[in-house]
Amino acid sequence: MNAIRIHDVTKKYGNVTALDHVSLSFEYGKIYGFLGRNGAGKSTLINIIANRIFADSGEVLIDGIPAKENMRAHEKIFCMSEADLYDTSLKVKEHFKWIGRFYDSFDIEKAFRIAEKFELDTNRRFKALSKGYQSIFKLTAALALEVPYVIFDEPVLGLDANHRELFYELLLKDYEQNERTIVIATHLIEEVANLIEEVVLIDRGKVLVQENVGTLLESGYSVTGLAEEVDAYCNGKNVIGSDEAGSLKAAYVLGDRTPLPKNSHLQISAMNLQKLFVKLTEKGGR
Amino acid sequence: MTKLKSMIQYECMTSARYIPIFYAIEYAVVILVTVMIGIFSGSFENGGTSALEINSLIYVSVLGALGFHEDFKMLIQNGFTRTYIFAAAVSLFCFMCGIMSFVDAVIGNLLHRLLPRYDSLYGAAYGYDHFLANWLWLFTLYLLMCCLLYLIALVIHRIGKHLSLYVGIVLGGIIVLIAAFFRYVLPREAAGKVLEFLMNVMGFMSDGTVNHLLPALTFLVLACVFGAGAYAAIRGTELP
Amino acid sequence: MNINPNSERPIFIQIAEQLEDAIVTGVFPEETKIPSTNELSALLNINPHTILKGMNLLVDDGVIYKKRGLGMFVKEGAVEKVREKRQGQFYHQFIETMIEEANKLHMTKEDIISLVERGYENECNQDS
Repeated sequence: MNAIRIHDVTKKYGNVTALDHVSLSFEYGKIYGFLGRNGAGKSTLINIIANRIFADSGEVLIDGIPAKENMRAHEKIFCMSEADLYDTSLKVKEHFKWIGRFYDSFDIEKAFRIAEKFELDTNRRFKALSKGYQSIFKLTAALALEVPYVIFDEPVLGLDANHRELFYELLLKDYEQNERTIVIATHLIEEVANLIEEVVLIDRGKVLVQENVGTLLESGYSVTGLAEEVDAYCNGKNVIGSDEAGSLKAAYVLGDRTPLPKNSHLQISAMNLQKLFVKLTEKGGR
Repeated sequence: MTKLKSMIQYECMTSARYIPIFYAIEYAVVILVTVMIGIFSGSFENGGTSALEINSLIYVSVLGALGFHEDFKMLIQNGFTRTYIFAAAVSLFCFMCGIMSFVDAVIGNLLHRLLPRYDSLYGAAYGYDHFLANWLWLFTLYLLMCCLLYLIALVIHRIGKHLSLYVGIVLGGIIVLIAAFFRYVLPREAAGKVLEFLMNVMGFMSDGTVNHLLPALTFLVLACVFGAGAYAAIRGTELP
Repeated sequence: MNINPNSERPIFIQIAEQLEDAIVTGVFPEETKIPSTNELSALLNINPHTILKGMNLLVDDGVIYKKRGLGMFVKEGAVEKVREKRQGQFYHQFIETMIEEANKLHMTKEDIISLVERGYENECNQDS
């Protein structure tokens, strides 16, 4: 029962289908990677969950309550995204004050502690902050808000390396204290690959994969060698892509690794998440 | 309900801080202009403006139009529904219009006492003997302007700037047509009846008496109509 | 601890192996506490469930055990256990690979044996 359930959601903009009968669920207590290329539909779905835009059909339920125009549902969720949805003339500390009034579960002291760690000047007005620090302010609010579902849409864009590390560290520390659902939507796959427990992959408005990261990685591998040998080995397998350089070929496969033929010069190696993602979403996916 | 309270507090806080600034500027400008005219023309008798309420009218209209933008985004981000946001906006409008209409009514009457040449908007039409009616009239007038501009802002947001321009031009054309229709097409009698009706709703009854509360009622009805339109518009507003 | 995200080996296995290394080399003596899942998670920026998975491998092997409310401790006799396990893996991990590589390079068995002897001589010399 405790989950964000997205059921058969479709959203079209003119004749572009941003989301095509998307069904998935973000269960309570897991860290999800919501991966997709630019324009794949991640932000559109997040905006629908956040009650910013409406789905053409289908519904989103948060712990069984519809997300559309329902205050109770939105008590439980916080979406942090790039969009400028904040009162630009307020100071950071004033923002904290108001967020504390709008939500029951905002830990304002924690917000100030986190702001300090990031060296965020809470006396500054929102519009006077750099882009990076505007993101940091939003991250701080999200980390200090103890709601059961938090969605980050490209949280670390514009953050320097130190702040990114700090964010991930604080995120995990927060997760250790209250195991809530954290969804990180990003196209920076390798950065989050070790943080997440489950991955949801969206491409061109459709969900390609929803799986535990470990299981997914175990099922993917690459086979390199002479083209004919590679093709022979891959016969009947689920090849999701390939690269060629002269007579050398690398094929990317999802599935079980069968033993290599004797005296074969083929090399089998693991595929990291980013490679898997790129191959799945290149020219039309699998 | 505490949420609603917080939201209304927020709306009021963000808008209320502009009121004193507005008045300070308005009266500073007026005083400056009056003084300058007085100095240059040699006497203070001819100077001065009338109907300062026009400025307030402009201010509340701007409030109505902008009230949508900043606050709407902030409140959606913090988990409020459009219905709640609408309720807060209307509360804000009532609060602001209530205050400003009171201030304007007081100052209008005061100025008229001090400078007999000065006429407030209400006073010029209905006289200065009914303060409450004066206040109510201004309040409902400002409210109707807020709601109208709010509705317009929402509509523009939904249909886009280009389409809005066309719609605006078409509406302008229709209004001109209606006026022309009145003037040139409608037979004397019918036109006379319409005019009489309009005068009635503005409080100038057919039997010569003045109903001081009727115009406020008229304005209130119009405000509700625009408000309902705004509610319908806001329910479908998206923030991509 | 150093986790290689691009390695062949899944993260949780790397965690298990590096904890084993630390135990075998005495960094975590027997009957002492090892860092908690959460501490490692925050340190390495890795999902705590992954860390736990790695630790559970060691629990299954009898190398570490959980003390209620206190955390994970190195079991008595863990060093010996890990050594034995590694010795068992040694053949597959090093010898087979070495022979395969040697064959690729057309090195004979005698070549390899003399290299091994040379290796031990050098080590002796370094020690003295």
